[in-house]
Amino acid sequence: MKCRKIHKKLHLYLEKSLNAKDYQEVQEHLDSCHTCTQLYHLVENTLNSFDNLPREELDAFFYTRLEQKLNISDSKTPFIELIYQPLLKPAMVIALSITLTGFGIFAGNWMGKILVQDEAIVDKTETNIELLAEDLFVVDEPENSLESFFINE
Amino acid sequence: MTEKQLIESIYKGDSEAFKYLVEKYKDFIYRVALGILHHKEDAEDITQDVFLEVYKSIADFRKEAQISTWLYRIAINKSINLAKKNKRKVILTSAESNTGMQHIMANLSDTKSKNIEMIMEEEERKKIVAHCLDKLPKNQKIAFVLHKFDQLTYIEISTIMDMSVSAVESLMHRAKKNLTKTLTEVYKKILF
Repeated sequence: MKCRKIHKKLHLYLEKSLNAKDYQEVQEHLDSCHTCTQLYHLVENTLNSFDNLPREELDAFFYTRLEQKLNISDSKTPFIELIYQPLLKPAMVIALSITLTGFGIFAGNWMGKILVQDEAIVDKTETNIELLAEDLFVVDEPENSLESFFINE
Repeated sequence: MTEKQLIESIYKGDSEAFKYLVEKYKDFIYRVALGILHHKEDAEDITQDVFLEVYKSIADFRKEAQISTWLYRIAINKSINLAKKNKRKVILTSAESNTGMQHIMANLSDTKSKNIEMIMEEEERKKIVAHCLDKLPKNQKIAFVLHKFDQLTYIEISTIMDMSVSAVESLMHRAKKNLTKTLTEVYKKILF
């Protein structure tokens, strides 16, 4: 059997899932071919190494570093997030209500003052027109009308 | 202290309880991240991120679930996302990718003439293993890493991956098969 054929069957040989005839052929080739034997051992050793992987561990100061990161991230909490924190939320709602109420009162007062000023201007204007009309004899009263003036004449 | 009590204590702000949780699980989480990312600094960053997320969202934890399952899921998601990001970064930053197979082959190109034991030097072996693991489909890689790096049982893996035990067995079988094929290809290029 040629090396290329062995390579295709090597994974099945390692799994021991080849039929007896193929298994025998691969075995015979491995006994006679040094390079294919090396290949077989490299693959087998690497696969076996997964069963004895070193138990990698973090150093003893991991928690200290994590704690520092926690403190930093806490102090860097954006303002918008603070608003939504459970303790601050009711306080923010109360403060917002007071501000809105105050603004409402102020706006009401301001609008009221503007209306009073407008009424005063209207009253003044009406008075002026009446005075002018009196001066020009155009006051629409029956006793002062032009018709009664001529009739009386 | 039961797991439920531990969660309650962390929720109430008990820093000692949180420290206990970190010390208990940090190495398990680190090994999974390392198995997926093959990079110690990245794996440590992921482990930190996992515990930061746990600390911030402990209120969202469903108490009927196991905390280890929750930790593993966060670690796997974060590691897979970072691995994707790293892969994209490598593709974007190098016009001619010198990672993976090409990188390994470049390092080992002159080993044919050297003693074959040189190939099995720890660092080179790690690179080859990392390359072969990265070639596995996502779920096969996760199951394999959980089983081999953290020695989790198929039952534990099935809980973490939310699938049946037989599905995990199947994933492991296919992972081994694919690894053997990839390893054969890598070593064949070195030897022949």
